[in-house]
Amino acid sequence: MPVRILGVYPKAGGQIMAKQIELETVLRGEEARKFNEYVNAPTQHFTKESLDLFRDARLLSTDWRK
Amino acid sequence: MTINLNSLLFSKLTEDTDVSSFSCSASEDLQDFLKTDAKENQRQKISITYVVHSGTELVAFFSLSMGCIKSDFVKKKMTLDINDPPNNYPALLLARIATKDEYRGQGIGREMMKRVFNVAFDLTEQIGCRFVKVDAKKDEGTIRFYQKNGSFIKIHENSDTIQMVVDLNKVRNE
Repeated sequence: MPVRILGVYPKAGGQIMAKQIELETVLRGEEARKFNEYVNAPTQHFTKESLDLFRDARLLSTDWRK
Repeated sequence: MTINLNSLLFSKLTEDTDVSSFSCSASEDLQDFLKTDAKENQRQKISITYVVHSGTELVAFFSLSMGCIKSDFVKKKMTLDINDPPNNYPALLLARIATKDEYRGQGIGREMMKRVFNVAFDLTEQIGCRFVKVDAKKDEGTIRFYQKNGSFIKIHENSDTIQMVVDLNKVRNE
């Protein structure tokens, strides 16, 4: 089961929080087997469009993070 | 409203960033996150949010955190093999990403994904980060977006979201 962190949804005073961030994903059984297959050969899933995106990402400067 | 992608300004969310005008009718959760949780999460170092401006208008945002993928996969043979893969993987978690209603469909999402991978590639070199992971809405358009912009694959499904990942291990050599 994914782990949820950070409190509960409704905040004191009635303000509603967004759904909490789930940090962990746990894979079992068939999901784990398929995941292992993917890990062994991830590049066969890469499309040209994604490879272009990866290339552009590598070429970006990091200044935008400031 | 047409936007010039080259004029977009990306920056880290600050306490002074005005998020009040942001609207995303496709997901109230995303809108609520930015307006009520993003700054507090950043103070608590749970997630970091990056905002995208066109001029003075906030048009999109995304939030990053660290995540983990655990897989209980074991080989059928009962020997301990030093080459067995680890079953705990660190991942950069794309916790939230959204574009303001009137600017959707113009490529801002893809520009944000470039920045997500820009961070991820650094992490793979600096602290170890094997995957980028995202909790995607159960929506064909959303799933296609991640397949198109990063070749994410589905690995797990919850009641309201689908977890998708892309393995960074071989990306840099492509």
